[in-house]
Amino acid sequence: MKGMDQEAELILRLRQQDEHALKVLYERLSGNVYALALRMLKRGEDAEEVVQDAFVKLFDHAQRFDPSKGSARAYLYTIARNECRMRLRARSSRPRVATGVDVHVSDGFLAAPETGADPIDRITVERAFDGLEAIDIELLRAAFFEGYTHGDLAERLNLPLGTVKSRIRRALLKMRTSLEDA
Amino acid sequence: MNHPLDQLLAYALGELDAAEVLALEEHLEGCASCREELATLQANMVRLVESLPATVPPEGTWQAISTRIAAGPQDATGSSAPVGRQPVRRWQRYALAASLVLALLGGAWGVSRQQRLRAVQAEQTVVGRWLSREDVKVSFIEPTGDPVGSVLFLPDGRSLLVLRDNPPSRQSYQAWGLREGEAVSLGVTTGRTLRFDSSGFDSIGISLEPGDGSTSPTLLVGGAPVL
Repeated sequence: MKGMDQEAELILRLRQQDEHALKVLYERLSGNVYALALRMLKRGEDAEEVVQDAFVKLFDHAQRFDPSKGSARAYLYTIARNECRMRLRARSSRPRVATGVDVHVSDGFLAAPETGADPIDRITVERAFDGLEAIDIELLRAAFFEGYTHGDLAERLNLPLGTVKSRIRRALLKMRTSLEDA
Repeated sequence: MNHPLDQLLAYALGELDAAEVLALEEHLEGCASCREELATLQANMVRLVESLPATVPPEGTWQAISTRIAAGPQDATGSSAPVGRQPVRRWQRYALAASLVLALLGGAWGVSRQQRLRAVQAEQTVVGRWLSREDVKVSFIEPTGDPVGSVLFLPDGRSLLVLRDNPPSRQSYQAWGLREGEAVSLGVTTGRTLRFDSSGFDSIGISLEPGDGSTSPTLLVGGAPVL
């Protein structure tokens, strides 16, 4: 059986309050959830809190998971990302925002998490974005990792909302080739 | 056919409200091309996350999750009419609270002080929530000598195991429902609290197990009658 199928089965087992299934999922995926939370929040304590909340919610809301509508990982990462977005919204001071489309000027978007993982983070994420136009990299970073709404981005970049949405969508679709080649 | 392409992105990112989700899922049922595009968006979202170097969360994170799960949904403090059972008296509850909290503090020093304090605080919250109920009953798990922990029982069968110490490294505690000579696994924990349902059992056994538990008890460390 493929790993992904096993993970979907593990989530289904959570419906029977199977804590061991959650522990297996935690051992497999907590490193990715923590990395995402560190990348988005840039604070270790907040990221740890997100890992806790994401796995507790996964356990409590396992009945909402439908394997026909997406993978187990996509479900968990979406929960974690939404936890991060909520915290970003709650913060009074937000991360620095993009004011232009010059990728070199806005390099601060890839600011390091406070864990010392920055050089690897920079290399891997840059590689994932390889082949995309500068503005698309900027939009994808801001929308996915920085938690900005499409409306925020349209306003800040002075672009029509529809353009922002379709560019982000196309960039995420185009990424497939880049990552598979990486 | 109009394809709601922008909605697909928001759906993949979990940013649609419930009504929008329903409308989009209705469209997806009849549109193979949108389903395909959605699958690509979701797969790339996963790839984007996994392009970051995986980083092990701090020690104690799993313990905190396990403790929160043991606390159960918020209805653990909801009302439940006690029928034909004698609840713990108030003075007993205070004494129990003190002894359980001391028991939890007793095993608190091992990892780092701050991490352990956070975990202990979470465990104390759970135990405090259970002890705040008027209808809780408590049974000590006693082998010989000092009790290794306690089990809190609610009238509807919900039960919370509170152990004095964490299991040794690479081992776990497993709770068993005992009835007519048969032992049924009720759950496994690598921490010091575990929630389970004791309905229909005469007593509870606690065993120490290798790894993530066993199909039958390996080393029974104590037991308590179901109250």
